[in-house]
Amino acid sequence: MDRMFRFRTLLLREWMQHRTGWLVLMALPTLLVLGLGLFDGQGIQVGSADAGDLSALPLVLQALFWTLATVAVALVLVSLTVLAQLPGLARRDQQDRSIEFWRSLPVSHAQGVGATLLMHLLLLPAAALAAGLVGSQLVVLVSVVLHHGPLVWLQLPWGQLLPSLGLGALRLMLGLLLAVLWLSPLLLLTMAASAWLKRWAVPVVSAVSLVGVYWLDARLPMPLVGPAFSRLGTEALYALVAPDLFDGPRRVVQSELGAAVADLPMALLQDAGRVLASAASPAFLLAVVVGALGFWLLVLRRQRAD
Amino acid sequence: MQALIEAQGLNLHYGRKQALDDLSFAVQPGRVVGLLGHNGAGKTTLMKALVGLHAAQGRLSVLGRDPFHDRVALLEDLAYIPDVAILPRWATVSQLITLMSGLHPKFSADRARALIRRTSVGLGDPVKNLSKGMVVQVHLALVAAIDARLMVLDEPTLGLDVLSRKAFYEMLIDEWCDGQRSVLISTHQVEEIETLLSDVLMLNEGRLVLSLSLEDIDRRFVALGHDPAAADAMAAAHPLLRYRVQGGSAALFDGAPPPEVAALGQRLRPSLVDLFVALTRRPEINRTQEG
Amino acid sequence: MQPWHQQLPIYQQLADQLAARLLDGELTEGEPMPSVRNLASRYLLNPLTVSRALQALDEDGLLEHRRGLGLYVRPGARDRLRQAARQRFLADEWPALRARLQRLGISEHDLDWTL
Repeated sequence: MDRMFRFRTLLLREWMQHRTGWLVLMALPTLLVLGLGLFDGQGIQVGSADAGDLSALPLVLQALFWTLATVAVALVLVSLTVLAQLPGLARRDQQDRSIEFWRSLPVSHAQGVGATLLMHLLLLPAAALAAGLVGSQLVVLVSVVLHHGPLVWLQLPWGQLLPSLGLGALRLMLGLLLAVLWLSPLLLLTMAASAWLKRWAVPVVSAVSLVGVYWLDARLPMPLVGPAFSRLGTEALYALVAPDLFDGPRRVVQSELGAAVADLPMALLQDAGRVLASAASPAFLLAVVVGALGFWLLVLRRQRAD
Repeated sequence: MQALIEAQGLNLHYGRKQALDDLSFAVQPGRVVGLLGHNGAGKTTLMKALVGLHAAQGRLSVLGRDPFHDRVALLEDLAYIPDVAILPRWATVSQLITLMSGLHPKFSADRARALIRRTSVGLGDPVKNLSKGMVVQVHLALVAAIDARLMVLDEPTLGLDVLSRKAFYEMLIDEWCDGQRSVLISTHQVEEIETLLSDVLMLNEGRLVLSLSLEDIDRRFVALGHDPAAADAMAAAHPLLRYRVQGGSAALFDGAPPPEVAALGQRLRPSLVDLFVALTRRPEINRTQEG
Repeated sequence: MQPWHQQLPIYQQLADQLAARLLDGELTEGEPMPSVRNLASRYLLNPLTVSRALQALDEDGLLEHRRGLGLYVRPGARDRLRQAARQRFLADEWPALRARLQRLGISEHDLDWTL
């Protein structure tokens, strides 16, 4: 039995243990937007004041709006969940001592830690975002059908929307991967702190960060800590949220609608290129290296668990 | 046949404490070896060293491998229960079987299911709903379904009631002892396990005070049951331990006592409990008794 | 769990118990002996101890090996056992009992002889 198979089983374990929560997280954005937005949403304002009411916009844009809204909600919920879970995840099996059970099986410590991280930082969030994207189409369907009937929904310019949705999905996944990698030093070092320091992790990490930004930076020839945090955060945000794409609403008002929607796939690709280019930088490499240090500390903790 | 475990001059420091002190022993195939010692004597530390969770100095070979550096490969051939009540509480028995099938190359899901069907546990039961005794039985069933050459059990019956312990030992004998595989089982409940053992390793404060088969113990140690009248004569011969038995007193000697003393008593089987007490008494107790 | 006393090695005590079961007819002549594993599991003993006990019974001529099939209770084993038990009683137990009767001053008239 090869190690890949065992690694996949470790991933399966994560799913078995956490599937209920993640299934909820997959459905929640869609349900929230359906519940709060749609049935309440006549008065939604979009863009600048002169854009007017949502329902006054062309249907394509409404469809895009609902798609974005659902995905945005998914992004927020997923990010919050991942961040909230991190400290607990680092110590998950130690409290009920089941770590001893896992360590009695022929699985390397690195595989054990790696499977947990891969699942909770990438695969499960990706699944939730994908579910959000799919769910967004349900929202679009309901919205259009409710106000205009099923035929109109079928008559949406799918020839243009589908490529955008497809590329949007890919852009989202790429963004997730890069965001996690950019933030890996912060995420993994916090997890390592939680694994080693338990309840003291969050206070210590907060204290160290504050000391770094406010005390250390003032004494260095060039501030390091503050700009580092800032850079990591900005890059991650750009990767995930693609703000450059959202020059969109202004262009729309200029009623070059057809071109705007048709341009979307290209815009997505270009944005992906931009984000990848940012990653081809020393800062990214450094971030990943520090993240690897955090990973190594987690593996060490698992090895030494007594 | 090659020994399953070979240790030479094994040492392990734990902080400032010498947890294992110059241990040398071997475990042959087809044996049930009891690792006996008080709490803190080093039993768990030794077992962790044997399964590669602690690095130790000295020579140590388990199933032909260096445990610490070959941990994953070793665990493919070895079944280990580090503690009772460590099965993940969120899982059902059936999920654990699925996971172990995917993680342990020598695990047989069919065998595990067959073993569990013989207990009162249902395959769909979540671990958190099971009593402690049932959890241990499930854990043992899972581990017994591994086609390993060596089973290492660290105090597997701790906190279990009599019936559960009995069921545990039955399953151990029935499912595991085939003459080729060995079990290393640590416990401080010596009386109970005595009859299951074929060999004994006795640890006291990190040192190995005894490493013998039960047969050799019967040959080497002499227990003499005697009347109160012979008490002084017995004491004068410096036994390891003097203790009470049903119907009188007894003295335990390491090696044959002088013939005149032997004649005063009736030869008894030296019980492992008494031997354990004799060899692992704390130094302070030793001093007061000799005073 | 089975209480094993300290007067004799455990394998000997097991052999005696098995012999008693033989005498009582629980183990039938010409039938296979329970397997080592079976006995080990039932009495919660190490299989090596059980093997030693069976070996002792074998040495007393109570068992026979059947090629490929294992250990069987030898026909005539019950009689052998009964003979041996009779011998022991007449040679050891009866003299001791008679001495006790004398000490207590019990004569044959005080005893109930129905057998």
